Amino acid sequence: MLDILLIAILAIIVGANDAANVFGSAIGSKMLKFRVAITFFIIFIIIGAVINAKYPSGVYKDLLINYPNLGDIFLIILPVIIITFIALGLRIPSSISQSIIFSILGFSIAKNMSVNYDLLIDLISFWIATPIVAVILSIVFCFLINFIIKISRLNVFQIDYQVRLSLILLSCVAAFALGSNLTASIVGIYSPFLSLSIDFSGYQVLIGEKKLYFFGSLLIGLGALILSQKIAQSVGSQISKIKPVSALSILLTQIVILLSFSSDLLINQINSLLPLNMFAMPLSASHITFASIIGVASFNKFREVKPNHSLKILISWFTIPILVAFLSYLFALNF
Amino acid sequence: MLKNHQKELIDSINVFLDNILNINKLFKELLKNYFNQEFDKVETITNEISKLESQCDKLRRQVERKIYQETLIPDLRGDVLGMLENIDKIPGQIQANAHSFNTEKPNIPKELNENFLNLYNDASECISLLVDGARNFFINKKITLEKCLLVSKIESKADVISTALKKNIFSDSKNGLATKVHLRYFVDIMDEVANLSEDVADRLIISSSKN
Repeated sequence: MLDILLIAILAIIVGANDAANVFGSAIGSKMLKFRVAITFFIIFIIIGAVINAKYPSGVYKDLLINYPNLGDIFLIILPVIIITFIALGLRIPSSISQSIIFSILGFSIAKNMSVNYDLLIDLISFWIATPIVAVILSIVFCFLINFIIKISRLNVFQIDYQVRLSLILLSCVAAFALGSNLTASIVGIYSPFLSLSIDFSGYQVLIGEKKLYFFGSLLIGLGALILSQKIAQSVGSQISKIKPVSALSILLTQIVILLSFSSDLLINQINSLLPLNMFAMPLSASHITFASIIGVASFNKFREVKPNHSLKILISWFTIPILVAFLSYLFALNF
Repeated sequence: MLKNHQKELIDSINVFLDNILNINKLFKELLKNYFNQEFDKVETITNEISKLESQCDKLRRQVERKIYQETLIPDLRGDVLGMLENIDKIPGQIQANAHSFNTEKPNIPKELNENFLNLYNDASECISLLVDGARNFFINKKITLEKCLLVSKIESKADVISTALKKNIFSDSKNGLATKVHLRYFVDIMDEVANLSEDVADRLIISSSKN
């Protein structure tokens, strides 16, 4: 019961936090209305979770050589919830997947459990690389879209129509890509216990893999519906002003990166072409969004970037994982 | 559905700009008729101008409402609304000028007729260039910049004519001060059309450079 409650809280926080990553730029640039955006978000996040979430979820299972007992999982999730709440209060978007991985690290150090450090180093390397790739990709996409608009010789209303339509379609694809990633972040930690049998008010509820991903993503959608409106409207505006074309570039960047790390089919294709040895893993949509916004802001020579808030977010990329690991270490020692 | 709204909007803006050009043409006709002392025709044209001006107001409001209701062109919305509101002052000014000619019937000396016509020709050219610039604001901002920069040049020419006209009016000893002031008022209101066009063009230059 406690596990379900923790997953629900985490999913709602994630929904509030991450719906903004997908639709925030479109809502913030006033191209999409919140209700329309959130409806699409809920539908596609569920589809994405049910189809793809099993791939990035596997990382949690592989990270610890001896996985903790089901009863101890809440000691890993609780520090994540506490730190994410604080970060949300400070209006800093945080990465749930990274927080959980570092919480597992803190927990395993306290409990003297063996950690697959090779995998951890690989994860950290990709986490460092993805924002850099996001900056580059968003610049490339911004340049490409502006070029297409220039050669298409459309009037502003036609451009507006095309951009709006593309934003709706791409937001759905981004929600699909994020569905697997986010759901893996919040329920993936339970993936070794599938099928899960949970005592629910005296009834034994059997939760299989698909059901787990479905309910996880549904709760994320609920969190988005209830709590994400303000965050979505202020996404970007806190870092830099977002124009509709920039919103499109940000979305394309998110889709390419998130799908490249969640779909087994794509990963195999990329690995066959490039010597990257990529594997499915939960990534930080918040970091990718932030990096993409910085990338598109470079088009305006960073004139509209708010340096204080951007710096705060950058610092949080290092402090949040350390704080979560430390808190988790303390919890594991004392409970 | 979205596409229909956008088509309607483009059509409305085009009709709005066409109406301004028509008002401009009608006022030229009005002046010619006035100098030929065909006052019935002047009245008819004044009424036509009034009708078109009301249509312009209606169209502007319709476009503004649609842009906000459908949250269209969010990054250009402010500039487009500012442009439409400022351009809409021009038909308003022309309508007021037409009414002034129709009701006050200024006693313009024949030798000044051509100067008055020249003054309005320049003002009229300013309007045509501005409308061209405004139309291109939605398609090609380079052309908007070119056209709007030309408006300033033509407006300066209109200023030269209006100053010369005022000198002529006040140096004419046949007319009393009341007539002179009355004629100067008509020079001012005709020159105002060119001034308004220049103001709108200046704003369009900023909007085009910004975007």
